[in-house]
Amino acid sequence: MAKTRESVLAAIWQTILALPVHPPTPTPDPQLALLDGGLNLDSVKVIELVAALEERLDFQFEDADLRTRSFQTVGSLAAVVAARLGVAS
Amino acid sequence: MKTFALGPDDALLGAVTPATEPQHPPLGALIWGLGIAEMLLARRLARAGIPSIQLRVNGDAFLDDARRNALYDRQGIVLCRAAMDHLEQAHGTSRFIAVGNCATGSLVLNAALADERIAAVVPTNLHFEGLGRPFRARLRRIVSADAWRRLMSGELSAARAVARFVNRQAPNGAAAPDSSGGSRPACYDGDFWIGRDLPARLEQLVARGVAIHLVCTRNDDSRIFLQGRFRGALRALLDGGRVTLSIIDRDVHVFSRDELAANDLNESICAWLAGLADVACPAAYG
Repeated sequence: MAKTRESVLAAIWQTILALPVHPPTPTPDPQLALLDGGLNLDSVKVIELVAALEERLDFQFEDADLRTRSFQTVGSLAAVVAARLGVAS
Repeated sequence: MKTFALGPDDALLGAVTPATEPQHPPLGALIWGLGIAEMLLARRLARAGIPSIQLRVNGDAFLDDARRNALYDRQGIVLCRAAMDHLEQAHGTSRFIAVGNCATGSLVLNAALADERIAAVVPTNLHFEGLGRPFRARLRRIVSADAWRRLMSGELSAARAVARFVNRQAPNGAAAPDSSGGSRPACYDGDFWIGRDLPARLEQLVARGVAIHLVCTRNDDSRIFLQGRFRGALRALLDGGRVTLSIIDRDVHVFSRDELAANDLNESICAWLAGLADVACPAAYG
């Protein structure tokens, strides 16, 4: 299980790559938009990402986490996941 | 939760959310929509012991209005059945709650007529055929702030606005079917056709014991029809208790495009289900 913000970010990045989605940069970019103007994930890819992260990191998002604001960027998603995992910022 | 293809010619994309609490056999949910809003509903149902299958049309047809609607029209009930079969085989569910918006709202209503496994149905912002656009909706387009803005900017000419109003055109400019109910063929006349005989269809379902939760947003055409043309017939059905009508105080047609509207919709559905003695399960729909 991921223990640091960096490892959370890395796990999210790996999960995105496995969707499969092809980010413009090879390394995790917290500023990269997940939705419009970035990876342009559609609704199906978002729910697949949610499920895959929960499986990879063995946790579950709370309903309140599953809002558009959580999926603005890779970094915003990482913050939500880190909070759920109890990872210190 | 992985997505997978199902149905004839893999026409559907689906995702199953298993129940996380002890399952309330034999109830399952069929939810049209494969996004976060529908996933949140599926999760709430899962916590109440109800596994669900979310659906949408597979592939490029999903993004093509004409192809998608043709699929609903010609195979919609077959697709609903395929999804229910899948959930039944995977989780032993033999009774279903079916949820859909607009075209799929009309579709689940007709699927309930065709398949007795559907015990409860939630059509939201129903799509009606053969009724044209309601007068109030057409008038609103003429007097709305957006219409004036477009007139002043030249984007819309006054002549065209009046022509669209008179000809009962839909917002996208397409001609709406004749509201006389028969002199011109409806655009769609198959599996998601709902028209003037809505009350009769609802009565048929009620007679079979199906619970129906109609939901509309405040300015949706469906609300205008349900509380206008169908007001009298609907009142009798509402008085019977098996049909309920919920108006969501938001201004959106597709719920999943507005988080607040989607949340309100999910709250409405769960509150309604919790009140159904024969459909609800004992766990809270939280």
